[in-house]
Amino acid sequence: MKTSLQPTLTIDGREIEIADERNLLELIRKADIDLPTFCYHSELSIYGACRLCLVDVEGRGIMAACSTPPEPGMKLRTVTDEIREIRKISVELLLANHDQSCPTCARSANCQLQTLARQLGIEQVRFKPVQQRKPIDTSSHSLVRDPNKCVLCGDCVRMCSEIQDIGAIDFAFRGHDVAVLPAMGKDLAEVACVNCGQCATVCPTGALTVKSEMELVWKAIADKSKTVVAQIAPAVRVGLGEAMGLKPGEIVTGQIVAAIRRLGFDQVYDTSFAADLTVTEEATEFLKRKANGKHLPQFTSCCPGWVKYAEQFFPEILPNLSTCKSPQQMFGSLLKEILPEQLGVKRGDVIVVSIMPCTAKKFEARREEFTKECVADVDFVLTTQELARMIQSSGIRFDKLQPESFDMPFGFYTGAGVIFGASGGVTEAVLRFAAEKVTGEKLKKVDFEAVRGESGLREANVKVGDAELRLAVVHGLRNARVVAEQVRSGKSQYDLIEVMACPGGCVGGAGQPVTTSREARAQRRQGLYKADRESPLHKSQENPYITETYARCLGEVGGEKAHHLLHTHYVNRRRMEESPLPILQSGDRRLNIGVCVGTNCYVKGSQQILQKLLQHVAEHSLSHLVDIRAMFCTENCEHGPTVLIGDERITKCTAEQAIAAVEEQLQPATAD
Amino acid sequence: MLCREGTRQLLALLDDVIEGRADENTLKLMQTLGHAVQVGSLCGLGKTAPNPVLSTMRYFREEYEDHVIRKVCKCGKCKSLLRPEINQEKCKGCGLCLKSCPTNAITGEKKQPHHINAELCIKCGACAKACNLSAVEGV
Repeated sequence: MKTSLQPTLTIDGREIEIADERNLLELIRKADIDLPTFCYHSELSIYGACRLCLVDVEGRGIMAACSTPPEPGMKLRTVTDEIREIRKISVELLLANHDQSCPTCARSANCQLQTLARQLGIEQVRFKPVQQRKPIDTSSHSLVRDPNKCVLCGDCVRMCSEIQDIGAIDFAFRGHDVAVLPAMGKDLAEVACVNCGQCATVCPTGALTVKSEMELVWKAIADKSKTVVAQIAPAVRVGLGEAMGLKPGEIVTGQIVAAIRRLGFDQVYDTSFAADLTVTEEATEFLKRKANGKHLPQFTSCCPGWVKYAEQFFPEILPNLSTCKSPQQMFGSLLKEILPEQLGVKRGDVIVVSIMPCTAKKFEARREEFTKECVADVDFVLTTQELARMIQSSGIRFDKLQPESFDMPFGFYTGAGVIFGASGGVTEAVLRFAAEKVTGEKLKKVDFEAVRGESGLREANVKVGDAELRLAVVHGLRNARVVAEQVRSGKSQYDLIEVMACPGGCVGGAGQPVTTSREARAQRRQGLYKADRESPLHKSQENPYITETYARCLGEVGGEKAHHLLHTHYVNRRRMEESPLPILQSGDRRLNIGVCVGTNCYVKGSQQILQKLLQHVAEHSLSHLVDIRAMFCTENCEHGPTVLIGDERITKCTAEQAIAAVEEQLQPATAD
Repeated sequence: MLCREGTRQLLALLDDVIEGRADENTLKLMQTLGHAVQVGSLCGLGKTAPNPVLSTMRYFREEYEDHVIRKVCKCGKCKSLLRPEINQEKCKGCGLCLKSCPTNAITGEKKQPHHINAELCIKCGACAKACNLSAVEGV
């Protein structure tokens, strides 16, 4: 292998050149030796705790390859009797403290612990089972956390804090009691988790898995009174093949459609159609904002992980988020608007199942805003993994399927809708729309290479007509924080910012077949661009069925009906949900009074205000007219105490002011 | 990982030894596990954690073998391995041990050698303390 004067070291007797490898492990893997690891991921920091990548360095003894930098002249051996025994002992020790319910585990056949035990030839665990059963956390809509299967490698912890910058889970306690837990031992649904599920993609075992909705979908399919409609997200077509033994990035759209029909779905549509719809609405919104200069830069809102992140950590910039629903939800509300009438059935009898590369979509579908008259716009969300399992469990031979095409009209899509699945795709699709809209001329070249790429934070300046648009494309929420901070402090110089929570965009979503390899993600991305190239149309505005849908149902682009069906609003989630404490409740619920009793307001005298208000109400026999609640922080501490009276918010409130406001608001009520 | 899980298992194996559940394989496993923790642990604390076990195994090998193979604890510290008996020749049948036994495990006629019922005995050693003739052995 030696070709130049490059420094070298010796691995198992072979001389290997040292290039820019950060540690021995990278070098060993470069030499095509697959050293086992649990806690090493090239994108995360080095932890060095799983002790599986041990190597014997001559003159130094046994050390972990992941945390040893390469030095010229080192002589190392990757397998010795001693190392083999230590590796075996390590895996046996983990198995002794592991819930070994492998056949029923979601990660069965896809579990690193299982694979390693087989590879190392472990036939029995020589140690005693020491596990104490801990409760399984099923609170999240997207993920299931089973601490009984955790090997404490910490991959999830580092993914959550280093790549996603959230830190929803971390190590707690010490020694044998160590556990990976959400803050304060709360449930996952109660903490800052944005449901991106990247923790589950790096988890080597079944400790963090995607919450399954397969049973519910099977039930809906079996129910004769329901019309079950599927929508398939762009990234699924380049991901599902992997679960079926094909190469990453292979486009299997036609086979997926055929398989879904065989499963018993009544209609199969393409979320790329809704993506075309999103482009139309979002680009129109963007051009409007650009024209009047308000709420710029505009953030994309397709990614539910990013949306929740912004709601939690950057409520100040929520007005900058596009009000467009994500393609999944646009499709949901459109289908629930059109299909019941068309088929002559009740709204609740149309079941929309979306097939997504994403775990956060499960959470998104259950957001309150997306439920109308107790019927959700999207009933169930299956991940690519779940669809693969449904296909496998029904015995369909995927490799024997003949490709079929989507149902019309909502199965018709352009290339712009398909590239939504790759980071940079939304921006490119919006550009293809906006450029023609602004210039009024046909675009000569539809590919905007400038916004494509792999880096987590990309910038591009694109000339559209006379104007130059400054764009940022971001994936991974740590990168999103950088641009969001700029916007919050008013220093942002961009016009449009696309954010995707998962590395590489939706192709790297946690619902895809588990992979953390960059190559696999790149191949999926290339698959999507290939699908775009192969598509006859590349611009959302060319989709004839989009035009028809507006004409038939939505009215004007960006108009009232479109707004009602295709746009949404966001909520400030900076505070975890804490319901206010009712203190005095009247039957009539005439006037809502809330007094903040958070620490700051309490210190500034809110308790006295509350007491005086109660006294006033008692003295003037108003108790049947008011609801008094003690509230928690209203994010307004510097101007406390804060009192809410009806819709009026009084800051730096005094008891007299509060009483006066109550009297004023009650006037019309007491008059009649 | 090795120290966290390894020391816990090392303790469990040691418990096997003192409670008479161990065999020769247990000793081998303790040695291998101890070595793995020593060599494989990340920090110095983990690397030295198995030292007490490994060095006693080295210098007091016989005592380990007593516990594991012959199932006796010569120091009388490992209760599970104790089998208290009354030496029939030394015992004069005074009845002091019988009175001192908290579980009434000792039987015998006056002036005749007494016996300990192994099923009832809790190996507390009260009889041995009470006996003036050192007739209670194996405690």
